[in-house]
Amino acid sequence: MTDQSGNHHVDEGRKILSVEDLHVAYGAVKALRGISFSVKAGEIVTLIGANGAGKSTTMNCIMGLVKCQAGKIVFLDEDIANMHAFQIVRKGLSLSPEGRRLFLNLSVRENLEIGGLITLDKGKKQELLDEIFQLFPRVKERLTQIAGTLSGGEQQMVAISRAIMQNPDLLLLDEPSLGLAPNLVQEIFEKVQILNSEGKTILMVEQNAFQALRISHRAYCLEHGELNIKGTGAELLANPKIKEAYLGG
Amino acid sequence: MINPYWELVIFLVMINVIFTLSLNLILGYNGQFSLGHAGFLAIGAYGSGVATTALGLPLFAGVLMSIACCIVAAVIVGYPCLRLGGDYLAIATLGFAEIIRIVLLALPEKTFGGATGMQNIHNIYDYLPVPAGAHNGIINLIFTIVFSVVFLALTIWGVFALGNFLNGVLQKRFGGNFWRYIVWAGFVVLIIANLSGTKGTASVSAKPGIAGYVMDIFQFSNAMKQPSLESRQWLVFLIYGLIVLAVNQLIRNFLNSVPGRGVVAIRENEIAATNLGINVFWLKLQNFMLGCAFAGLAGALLAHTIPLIKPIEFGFLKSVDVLLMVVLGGMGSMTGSFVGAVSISVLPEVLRGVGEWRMVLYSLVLILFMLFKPGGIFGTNELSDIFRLPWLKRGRDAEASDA
Ligand SMILES: Nc1ncnc2c1ncn2[C@@H]1O[C@H](COP(=O)(O)OP(=O)(O)OP(=O)(O)O)[C@@H](O)[C@H]1O
Ligand SMILES: [Mg+2]
Repeated sequence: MTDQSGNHHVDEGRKILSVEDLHVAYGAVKALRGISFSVKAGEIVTLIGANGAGKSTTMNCIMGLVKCQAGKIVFLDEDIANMHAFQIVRKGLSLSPEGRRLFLNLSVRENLEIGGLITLDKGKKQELLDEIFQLFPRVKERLTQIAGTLSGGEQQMVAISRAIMQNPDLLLLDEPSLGLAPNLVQEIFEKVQILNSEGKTILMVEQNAFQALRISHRAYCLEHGELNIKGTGAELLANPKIKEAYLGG
Repeated sequence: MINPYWELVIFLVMINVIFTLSLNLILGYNGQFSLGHAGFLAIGAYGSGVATTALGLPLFAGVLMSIACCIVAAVIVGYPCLRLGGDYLAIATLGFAEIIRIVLLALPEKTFGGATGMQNIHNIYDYLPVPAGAHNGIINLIFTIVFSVVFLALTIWGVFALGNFLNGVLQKRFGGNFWRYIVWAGFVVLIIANLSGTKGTASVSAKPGIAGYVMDIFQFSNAMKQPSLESRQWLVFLIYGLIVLAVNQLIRNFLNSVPGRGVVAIRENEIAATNLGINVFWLKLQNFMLGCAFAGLAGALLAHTIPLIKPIEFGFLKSVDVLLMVVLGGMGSMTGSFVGAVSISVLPEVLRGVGEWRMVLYSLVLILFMLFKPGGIFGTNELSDIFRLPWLKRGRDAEASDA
């Protein structure tokens, strides 16, 4: 909920991302049928929804990995819809993708360095690394290990760290708790909350609806490519429809 | 003075090293399959050949022209293919190399030599001044000494390194220290290698053992007898050696730069690289252009080294040869490229004695590699990753300890 809202430093309330009437289709499959939502500075916003609802599509489309047929994606007063991913990253967005997509043959350090390759200069790099080590001490321990040999949870931490290394204004997390044991899920969400309280704005996609909604300021529920339910995290937690479908009654 | 046969072998080895490094940059570091790399070698060779003979340009202009032509060709082939991704580049370069070969056959014979090849290209020696006699003794001596010392040092280091490597492998497998056995095995190999030579008779010429070959290469006893030719030879070795080192250093620097890291990231995972903001298409094209530029340099050197360049030499077999050098040495390893290029260029010469069987041996070695060490000799490791020598401490994780 919003118990940590006192910690935000960014000029709160300013919309940094607003998606307007976004349509995405893969050939005949209509994945998104005109969704609109927004993220304000300092918030954690969560998208929940069933498998195949179009959550990852939304994230990929914002990052420019998937083309949209219609609609606007306004990031910091600029329409970034259908720009290339390399342009969008430079504007201050970064995504920790579903399934992590680490460079499995490279060391953890190399993964992080490639994360900061485009957007960082040297001094900032060390600063961010320190920040990451504080957040995930495990990443520091495993710095020289080959990423492919890490456990799933460690890989997830590296994926998030790699996205942080880009020093984004808006961090997109696609299922950060995917495939993690319950206690690790808890831990990842705590880290997300810490990141947010340090000033990062976060847009997150989650299957673990209960825990995700608890830490979200606002949330949306995506069904068959449409956004039907929206509200604060607490409102969605209390919503009977959500309760039935995602929180196990 | 090294005899002309071995001199040519050494030149070709050095050129092959450059050629292999150029393909390794594309295939090993970026993961893009180029199956027609010989086409770019041909463009390089004919580019400089024509520029220096028909157009009468100086040598450096010819070399620059070769490089420029290769870059243009790389854009023409790479722009559409790299955009498509997948295996299109392999197919397109394969076709491209054939087109180049056939075009070279069809171009006017007066300038390009047609099927019989271009003969009148100036040799690298033609560009060197003939040194004055009195000077030669000293320069000759200095070069001989320096070269011998460097050669000896490299040999000792190489042998030590190989032993260390073997020891490491055995240690991992069985535990314990195996240096003693390696030294003994080394002696046995050396003795057998030396005894393997045969004495010549009136009808059959002598076949020297390894030591014989080494002596044959350097002919130290004759070192002071032909001063003028001798020092020119060392000078060319030096020039070629410096070019090889320069290419090596340029590629290393590129790989350590921001775009270079991006190139490796693309090899590892293209989607992730895109996701992280790397302009995948443009970087692949840039890297392809760079690789082809070095292939052009190799081609230009080749044209001024061998007496005759023929289109048929730049056929599919040449492309496969260089592919083997990269794969055998290890895709994504500079050291591997050196080892691959040297071994595949020298192997046929050393195996000349076994006649036609050498192709069989050749294939056998490759099959064994595919089965037991598909990553090539070095994988993606460098010498500095394997031997943690204090002055070479630049392995991939060397910095990590002080983070
Ligand atoms: N590349 C593609 N080609 C064709 N259809 C696709 C493609 N990617 C996604 N889809 C389809 O689009 C729909 C939305 O997919 P998406 O990956 O966005 O779902 P999701 O909400 O992230 O699901 P999950 O919770 O399982 O990750 C699905 O029906 C999927 O089959
Ligand atoms: Mg998904």
